[in-house]
Amino acid sequence: MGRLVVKIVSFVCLLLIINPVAAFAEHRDYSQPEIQQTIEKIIAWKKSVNKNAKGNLISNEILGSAGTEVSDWYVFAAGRLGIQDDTRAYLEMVKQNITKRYKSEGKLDQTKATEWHRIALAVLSVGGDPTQIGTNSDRQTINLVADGVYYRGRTKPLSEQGLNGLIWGLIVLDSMRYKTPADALDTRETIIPEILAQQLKDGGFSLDGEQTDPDMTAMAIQALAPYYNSEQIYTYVSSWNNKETRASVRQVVDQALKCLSSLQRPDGDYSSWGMENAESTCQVLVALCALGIDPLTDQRFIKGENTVIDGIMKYRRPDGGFIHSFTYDEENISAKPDQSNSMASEQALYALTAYYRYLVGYRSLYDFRPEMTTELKKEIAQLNQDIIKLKNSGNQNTSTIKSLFARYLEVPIEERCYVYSYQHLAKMISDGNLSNTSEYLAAAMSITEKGNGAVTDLFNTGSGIYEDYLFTDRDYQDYKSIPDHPSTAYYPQIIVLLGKISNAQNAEDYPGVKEDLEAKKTSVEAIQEKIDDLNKRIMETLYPFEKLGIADKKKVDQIVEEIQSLQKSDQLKIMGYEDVIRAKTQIDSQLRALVIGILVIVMAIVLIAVVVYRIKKKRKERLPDYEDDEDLLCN
Amino acid sequence: MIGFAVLFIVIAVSRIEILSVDEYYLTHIDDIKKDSQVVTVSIRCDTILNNMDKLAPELRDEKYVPRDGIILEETQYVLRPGDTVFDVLNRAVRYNKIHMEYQGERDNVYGSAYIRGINHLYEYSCGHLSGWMYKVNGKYPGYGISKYKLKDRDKVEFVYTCDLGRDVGGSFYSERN
Repeated sequence: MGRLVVKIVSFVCLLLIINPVAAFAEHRDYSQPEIQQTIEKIIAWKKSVNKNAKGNLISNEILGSAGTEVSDWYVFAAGRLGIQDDTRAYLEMVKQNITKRYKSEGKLDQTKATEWHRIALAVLSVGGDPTQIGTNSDRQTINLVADGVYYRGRTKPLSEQGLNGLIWGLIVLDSMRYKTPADALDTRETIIPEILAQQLKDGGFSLDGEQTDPDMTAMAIQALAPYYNSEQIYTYVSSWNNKETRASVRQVVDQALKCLSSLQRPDGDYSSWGMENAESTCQVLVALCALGIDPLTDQRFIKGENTVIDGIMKYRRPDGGFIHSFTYDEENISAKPDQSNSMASEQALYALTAYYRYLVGYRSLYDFRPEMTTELKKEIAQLNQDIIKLKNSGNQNTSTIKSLFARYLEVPIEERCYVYSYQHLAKMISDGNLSNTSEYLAAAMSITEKGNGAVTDLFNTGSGIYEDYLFTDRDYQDYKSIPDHPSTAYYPQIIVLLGKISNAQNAEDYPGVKEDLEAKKTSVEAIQEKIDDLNKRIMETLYPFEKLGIADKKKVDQIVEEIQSLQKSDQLKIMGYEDVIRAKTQIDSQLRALVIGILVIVMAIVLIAVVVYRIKKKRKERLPDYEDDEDLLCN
Repeated sequence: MIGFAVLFIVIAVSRIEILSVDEYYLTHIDDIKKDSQVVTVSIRCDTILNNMDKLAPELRDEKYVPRDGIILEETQYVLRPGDTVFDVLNRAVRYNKIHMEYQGERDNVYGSAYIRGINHLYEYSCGHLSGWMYKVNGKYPGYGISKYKLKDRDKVEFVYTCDLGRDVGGSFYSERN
């Protein structure tokens, strides 16, 4: 008995030691206004982190990193919310970024197609068109969807980086229901079975083909969601057992949902790589919303009382941001358990945005087409309701089923993924031995060639972005604060103001501003080119140090001169500046040694000449002395 | 007099460097002396040799994948105060004219420089589980290279994995370097 008590006590003590900072989720059924508030507080937190509390979410810092993971997802979230922000500036900056990167061999990246995908989604979210943005080296506009998805195979296989390349490629294809041309190397018909084939034995998906991961499983579901209602059977070889498999997307996704359900932790959250964390939970929420699964009522995703939303809120901090995990993660040392984290907050932001869109009946997170007409929305909502009603009634007579099915067939094929209860109708049809004549969905998704992503103002803040913009005196002061010869640090500011004045209704009130800004933009771009060129020449000229000699003096001096002509903040962008100074010093000292050496030799020669001359002179002077003495003696 | 002449000639011939103290320090900063603090750096891609079938076709050449897998053999460098793993790697590849591409701290979600490729070998160049990892004194820190501050006598190894770290003794979790 005593032993048992000791065991229990020590076990409890052990738990307390391991989990001293564990937080426990308290269940709440968060209301729509509360979700909105949470979203707004995340944005306020991010703005304060960027030291831009009263300004925009798309700050100079975010603009400076346009086209990278650091910025794109925040911009994506801002776009999906439709908030008033510097989205036009982002489009301009990302266009510059893309154009610059396209000059290099790998273009956006040597191996990762997801670079194209992420940027395409961010561009769509702020009302841009990823099929025509930026310019390549042949002076043509760039089509991110072509280069990153259906023609990607021309450079590298879409799956080169693994499952993510396929998942995000499919998400991009369906973002606007893009058409794939006849000579596409990857299409929906090829990508979907490739994703299905990666499902593991337990129904989950992974990075490495072995260890199921909730993030990957959730993302696979997000990509497949538009096809959940398709009756098409795909044939593929399952990678986990190498066996030929025939399955519909719905069957595969149902298995994946079962897997996710079993992985959900008691607090409602999810664990990845051994650690419960915010991001995994966020991805699951996005997946559920994509399928129209109500996180507050679907029992598969409620543990105890805790929902996935409770799981996410567990990581929320008083300052409005979200942390990554409560356990100190050695692999992610910038994510501290007591400090709001950028990546966690950004995923919470867009996951809650996905949920908000689901709540108010807007298109799902990765669907950028203009919103459905009110009638169509109503029709679909009514159909969903009636299907559920029939399912719960227990009296499934054939004529009712048939009439519901007829209504389903009237929904445009590319919108059928929004008939969330269709799966129940499909079951009733098959249980009733009726024929399901619905068309396969993949074939009907090839619709759009180009166009801007739709932006919807979810919180009714009255965005209109720049359409009816008025250039203010404050903007003018901002413009005046830019020096005559701006350094590259001013680039985002110039771009922002240029966007404003270009679209301002009252541009005539500020004559000359636009032209001046354009001139400044050009001059800053020239400086950037100079910096890039210098960096290249430094790499080519300086190394290895041992080989540097006086012959390189001109090149090195030229480099030094050009660097010194730059402003201080631009000089910081020179890589290896220290090495340049060192090289110059080395060469100069070699030259100095040479000059001194020559001078010394010359002096030595002169000295020797002088000495020789003096010796000769002395000899000449001495001889007469001897003659005089002889004369004296002889006389 | 002749003595001076001789002295001058000797100086000229020996070409002694005449430098100020600062200049001397700058140009000899990497000289390894008995009391210098040093680290060693090596860069290897041996695992690719066992996975040539997965290697991107354009990289199937000795200039990208040396026959012995050694891109940079163990080299000693003076450890400057505050040097991180990134600083030392950057120095090593620049001095030896080895191609390296990295993403700067500011553009990286983990707040650290991230090595995209060395010697034209990139993440995913040899299959979807491939990429660069780094060890210090035989262990994988598993976090950003510009966050790891080095100490005297540390041994830094950059290794290319073709199996998420499992083929180079790393854990499954250490995917990013």
